[in-house]
Parts: sequence; structure tokens; C-alpha cells
Amino acid sequence: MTGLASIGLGHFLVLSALMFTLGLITAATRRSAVAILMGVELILNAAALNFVAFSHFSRGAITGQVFAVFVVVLAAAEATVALAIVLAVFRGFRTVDVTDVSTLKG
Amino acid sequence: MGSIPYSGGWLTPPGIDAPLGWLLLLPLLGALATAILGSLLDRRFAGRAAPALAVAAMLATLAMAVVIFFTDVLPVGARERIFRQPLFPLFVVGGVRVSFGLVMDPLSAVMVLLVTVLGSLIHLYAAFYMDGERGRPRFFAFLNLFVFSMVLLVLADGFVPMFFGWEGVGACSYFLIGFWFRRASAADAATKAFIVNRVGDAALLIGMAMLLWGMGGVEMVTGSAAGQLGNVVTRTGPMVETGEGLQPSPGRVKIPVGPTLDFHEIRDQLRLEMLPKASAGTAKADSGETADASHDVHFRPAAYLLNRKALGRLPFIFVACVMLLLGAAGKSAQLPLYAWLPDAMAGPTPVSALIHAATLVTAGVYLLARLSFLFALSPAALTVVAVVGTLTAFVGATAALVQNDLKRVLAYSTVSQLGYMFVALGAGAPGAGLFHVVTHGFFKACLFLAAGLVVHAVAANTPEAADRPDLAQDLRQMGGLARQLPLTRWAYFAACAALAGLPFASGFFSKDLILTSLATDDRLSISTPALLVVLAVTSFLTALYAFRSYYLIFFARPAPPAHQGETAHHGGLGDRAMTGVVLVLAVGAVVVGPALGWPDNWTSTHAEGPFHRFVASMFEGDWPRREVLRTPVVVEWGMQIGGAVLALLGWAVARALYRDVAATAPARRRLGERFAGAQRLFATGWQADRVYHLLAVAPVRALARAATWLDRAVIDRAVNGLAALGVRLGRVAGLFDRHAVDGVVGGVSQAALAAGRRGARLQNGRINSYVLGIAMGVAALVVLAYFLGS
Repeated sequence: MTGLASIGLGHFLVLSALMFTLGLITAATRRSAVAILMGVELILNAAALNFVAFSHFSRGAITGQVFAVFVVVLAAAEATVALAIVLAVFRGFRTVDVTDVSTLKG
Repeated sequence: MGSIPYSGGWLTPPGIDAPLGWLLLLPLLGALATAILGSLLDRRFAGRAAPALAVAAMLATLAMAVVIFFTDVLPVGARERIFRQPLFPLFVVGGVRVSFGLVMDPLSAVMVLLVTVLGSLIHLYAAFYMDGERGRPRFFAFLNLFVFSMVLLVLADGFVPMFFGWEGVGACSYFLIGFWFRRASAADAATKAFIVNRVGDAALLIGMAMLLWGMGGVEMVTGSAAGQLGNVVTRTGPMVETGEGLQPSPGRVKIPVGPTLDFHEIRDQLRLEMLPKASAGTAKADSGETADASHDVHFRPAAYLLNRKALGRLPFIFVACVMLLLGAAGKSAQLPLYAWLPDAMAGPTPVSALIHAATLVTAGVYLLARLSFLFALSPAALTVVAVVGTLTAFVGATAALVQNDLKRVLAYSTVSQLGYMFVALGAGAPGAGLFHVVTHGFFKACLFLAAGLVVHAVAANTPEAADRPDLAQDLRQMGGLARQLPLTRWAYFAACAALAGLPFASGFFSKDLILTSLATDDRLSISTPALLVVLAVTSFLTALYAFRSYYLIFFARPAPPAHQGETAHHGGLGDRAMTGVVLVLAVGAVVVGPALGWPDNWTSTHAEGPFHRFVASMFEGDWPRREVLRTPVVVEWGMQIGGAVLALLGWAVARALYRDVAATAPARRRLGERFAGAQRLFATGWQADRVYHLLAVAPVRALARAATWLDRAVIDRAVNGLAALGVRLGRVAGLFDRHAVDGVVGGVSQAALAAGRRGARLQNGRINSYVLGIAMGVAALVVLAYFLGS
């Protein structure tokens, strides 16, 4: 526990921010829809990590942890829908490269 | 003679309900039936339905008129022969109450009988005469409608209903003159008759308006009733008409006063005005239950009419009478409105006989006779009437002398004879004028119908007349028809004798009476001998032109070769019937005069003929001085012998000149050369058309030209200027629109477009850049919130 005790809230927040940034970069730069989804998962998990960290250090309140569970469920649901869309896009376009899927552009 | 019962006016007799409405209803129904049923059934009955219906309606009207005359009019006392039948009120304007009423008095009775008797005979004639013509239902419907209008005219008990009839006969005349409307001459003649009559009608309306205004009256109320009486409508008067002027009545009589258009009310009010001041100048107010003898109401119903001036210094009543005279002159073809009548002969011959000889043209005479109580108050107006009549008689006779168209001869003769009637009215002898209306109706109808037979015969003799209808009426085409039309010849002779005034034919009696009346009249403000001389010359001319036409038709030239169609044409039922009608009228032409109106110097007791006794009650009281005046016997005999000599002289000259035209050709040529100018003048009816042209047509055309010029030069220019100004303004507005408004609008749209184009670049369809955009946006918001929130 001592090892754990030396780790403070700041570490969690830094990690979370790192994960968020990485996710954002992934979503903003990758062309594959699956990779973008993965980036989005990273962003969601960064947020969830924030919830859990704040919950842990605020002593007694478990609201943040409950929120983290919700975020996980939400992420699963989102991944389900998004992967179904990606699958449908792949059927239609034979690719999952989002730069090629631009027929709705005005 | 007992008391006179009262029911509305001084002269109103007991309320005998004379079925006068039937006299109107029968011909009106006849006209409708002829127009509708006649057209529908005409083909089935081989064209006989319309004439049969019209004749039946006409005969029914005649029967009704005769029954009314012999059961209602004739048996009652002379002073009670005035039946009023108010039918319905028409309208009320201010204090004027106009109602639609009929009256049957001696004047109306004479006219109704004349119209129905002649109308029946001429309907009968027309039924055969119009055989084979197209448009017979139209013809007979209008003929019946004419009879309706004419009966309405003479039965009407006021200006307004009379005016309905007055315009009705004018309209029917228009339709029937233009019966052959495909001929330009007929259509033009109809239009001319209509327009000339409108001129007269305008004058008549002015006269009516003046009467209406003049009868307003003034009243001076004294005593306690002053201020309480408004526009008083009814008064009791102490006086009553008894025949010898106004006498105190046994009972009290009510006199409606105030502006009115009813004939009898105008007459009653005028008499109230004329009452001697001492006895009746103060009519007591009829205050009903609250009778109060202390009020004196001096009512002067016709004060304006009798005392005002109009048109400067002319007496009001004189102007009103001249206006009414002008209206009558239009209808009765008097100077200056006579030129439509000769042209009106473009209509079928029965129309000429019934409308333009016997009845319609006497409407003016009737009107003036009806209003003789009014004219009696203005000697100056009477003078105008007499002078107009004399001049018209002379002008008409001279024009008739040189016409080559048989029907135009007769038309100008009608003009001339109507002039005689006006002379009678001007001389204060409406009875004599009415007598001439009756005798003239018979002999002129006879002449026209005989002329119709002659025209048919000539048309049958000359094949080329089929294309030129005027040829069959040309006296120069005729001659020697005595053998072909023996009965017609004698009928024509009898009618000519009546027209010329040969002794013992009817025209002799009526004309003599007119001349005698004129000779003994002392009211005219012009020397009567001058008028008498003109009329004496006219009498000679009348005989001359009458027998000229007679000899030119039946002798003059050798008989035309017998045409093959002649026997068939002559032996037919139609021809016999028409000849029969003509003979009946010829008998009438000879007999009516001596039977009804012999001169009073022919009897030892100076008894007048039944006609004069019958109509006398109509006019006595209006002409007080004539009562006293007894025509000197010498004058009567002188007039009669002089008239007879002149007529015989005219006959003799005509016989000498026209019995054999070949033998007298050089003599006539010499006459023609000597009087060439006069002949031209006469032949054109004294240049009436040129005068109309100068006085009416040319000014109207000039006015039209001036209006056109004004239109083009002023109004059009102004309008064009305005339009040009509008165009300039429009151009300026266009510039403003294009540059200012369009610039703004275009700029806005351009800006929107550019913004859209720029914005569209963001929508590049690449999710990555969207994500980046969202992230940057959120980051910006966070930074913003950080700074703002602190």
C-alpha cells in the first residue's frame, strides 16, 4: 500500500490527460475508422480514469466510481454501434478509410 | 240639373265604374299573343295565326269601346259624361302625387272610337295586304301595341300616363316605319321620325315641368290658422262648374290644390284662380272636425303660372304653352317639325293609313284640345298655334302639289290637313278641330288604303317594280287604272272629294267650321283675314293636288296592257276584302261629315250637329266669350259658298291639266318653266331637310368636329405629355432601382454567397479535421471559460 500511497491524485490526472491527448491525436490523425474508434475509447477511458481517481481521493463518495461503470457500459454500447456502422461502411465502400467515405459531403 | 255628386274633383261624376281598363288590356294582350303565339303557330296555320289574333284583339277592343260608348257615355246627361277610373298610384315626389288614372269624357270617347273603328278596318285590310310578307307576327304585334299606346294616350287622366302612351305610339311608329329594315331608306326614315319626335318630346317635357312648377301656387293665410297649414292638399270651395261658368254649388266641393300633373286638377285649379275675386277669391280652409270660419285662406294655385315671366319679359304661361305646342307639333308634323312625316311613308301602307294619317299624328291635336282650358288663358299662344297651323297647311299643300310619289302626296296632304286642325285649336274651336280629326281620319285612311290597292295593281302591271319598290308608287308610272280598279276609283274619288271639301262631302263641313271659327275669332292678336286668305288659297291647292293624284292614277294615260296575273290578282278573296274595307271607309268619308256635324245655319233652329253637341260640354266654360258670340249667318254662308267654289275650281283645274297628260303636256311644261324655282322649293318640302341640316345636323357635326379637335389638340396632347413625363420618371426610377436597390440586394446576396463558399470549405468531409475542429473548439471554450469564469 505504501507504494500505492506514494502515488497521488496528480499522477492519475497526468496519466488521464496523457491518455486523452493520445486518444485525441489518434482520432484526429488516423484514417482508419477502427483506429479512430480506438482513439475515442482512449478518450472515454481517460475520462473514466478521472472519475475513479477523484472518487478515490475524495473519501467516502462512490459516485465517481458508479459513473466509471456507466462510462464502461456506454463505451461498450458505443463500440457496438460504431463497429456495426464501420462494418456497414465497409460493405458499401470496401474500405474503412474515412477520407474515402465522403459521399454525403455537399 | 240638381246637385253634382262629388268624388274627387269639381267635374267628377258619380262613380260609374266604366271598364276602361279593358280598352287597354285587350290590345295589349293582343300584341303579346300575336308576338308569342303568332310566331309559334304561324307556320302551322300558313301564316294566318298572327293576323287572325291581331284582328280578333282589335275587334274585341272595338266592341268594348262601342259598348262603353253606348251604355255608359251616351245615355247620361251631357254634363256628367266624365268618368274617372284611377288605377294605381305611380309615385310621390315631395308634394306631387302622380297616379295612373284613366278618364272617359267626350274628347276621349271620340278619339277612342276613331282609333278603334279605323284600327279595326285597317287591321282587317292589313291582314290581307301583308299576305306573303315576312315578319308578319312582328308587324301585327306592333300594330296592336300601337293601338294600345294610342288608347292609353287618349284615355290617360294626366300628363304622366299620357306620356307613356305618347312615347309608346312614337316607338311603335319607329318600329313600323322601319318594318322593312333591310331597306336603308326605311331604316333612315324610322330614325328620322324618331329623332324629330324626340325634339318635340323634349319641348313637351319642358312644358310639363313648367306647368308642374307653375301650379305650385301661393297661399296667404290669415287668422289663427296662419302657420298651421302646411302644404294644404284639400280645400272646400263654394263654387261648382255648371256649364254656365262657375256657380255657387248646392253642396260643398273639394278642390285638390298644389303642384299636379293631372289634367282635371290643373283645370280645376286654374278655374279656382280665375274665379271672380268677390265670390271665391277666398276659399275656406277645410279644417275637418275643427271647422273654424274665422280663418281666411286665400289660395292662388296658379299664381306663378299666370303672373310670372319667363325668358325675360315673356309671360310664363305663354312660354309653357309654346313648349307644349312644340311637343304637339313634333307628333302632329307641324312647322317646324313636319319633315319626318313624308319620309315615314317608307313603312307599309296600312301603317301609313293608321298611324301616319288617321291616329298618331292627331295626338298633338288631341293634346292641345285636352289642354284648351290652358291655352284659353294665353291669347298670344293661341295666335302662335293658329299661325303655325296656317303656315303648315299652306306648306303641306304646296309640297303635295308637286310630289311624284303617291304616298308622299298623301303624306304632305296629311301635314296640310293637320295644319287646319291646329288652326281650329288656335281659333279657340277645339270642337271644330276634333271634328276635322274625325272626318280626316276617315277620308285619309280611305285614300291611303286605296293607294295601297293601286300600288299593288301597279306592281302587278310593271314587272320591274319587283326590284324597285318606289316605282310602284310613282304617279308617272300610273294612269288608266280606272277600268282595272273601278271600285277603288270611286272610293278614291269620294275620299278626294272629302279632302278637297267638295260640297256635301265630310271635309267640306269640318273645314268650313274651322274657317268660320277663325273668321269670328276675336282673341287672336293677328289679323285673321290674312290667315283666312292663306287658308283659302290652301283650299284651292288642296282640291288641286287631290284631284291631280286622282286623275294621274286613274286616267291621264291609256290603260296599261292587261297583265296575265291581273285576273288572279283581282278576283281573290283578299282583294275583295280590301276593296270592301276601302269602300266602307269611302262611305264614311262622305257620310260622317253631314251625318254628325251639319252647320247650324242649315237648320231653322240653328241646332248644331250631334257631334258638336256631344263634345261641346267638354270645352264650354273654357271659352267664355264664344258662348255669347253667335256667328253671323252671312259669314257662315260666305265661308261655305266660298269654300265650295274654291274646291270646285281646284277640281276643274286639276281635271283640265291632268285628265289627259299627253294633250296638256305643252301647257304643263310652260307652267313648269315659269315656276321652276317654286316647283323645286315645293318638291323638297320647302327645303325642310336643308333647314334641319343647317340648324341641327350641321351644328351638331361642327360641335363634333370641335370636340374632336379639342380632344386631339388639347386633351390628347395633355395626356401624351403626362405619359411622356411618366416615362421619364420611370426611367429615373429604373436607374435608381438598378443601381441603388439592386446594388444593395445584390451585395447582400453576394456576401451571403461568398460566406457560404468560404464556409463550405470547412465541410471537407474528413472526419479527422472535424474532430480536430471540435477539440480545438472545446479547448478554446475551456480557455475562454477559464478567463471569463475567474
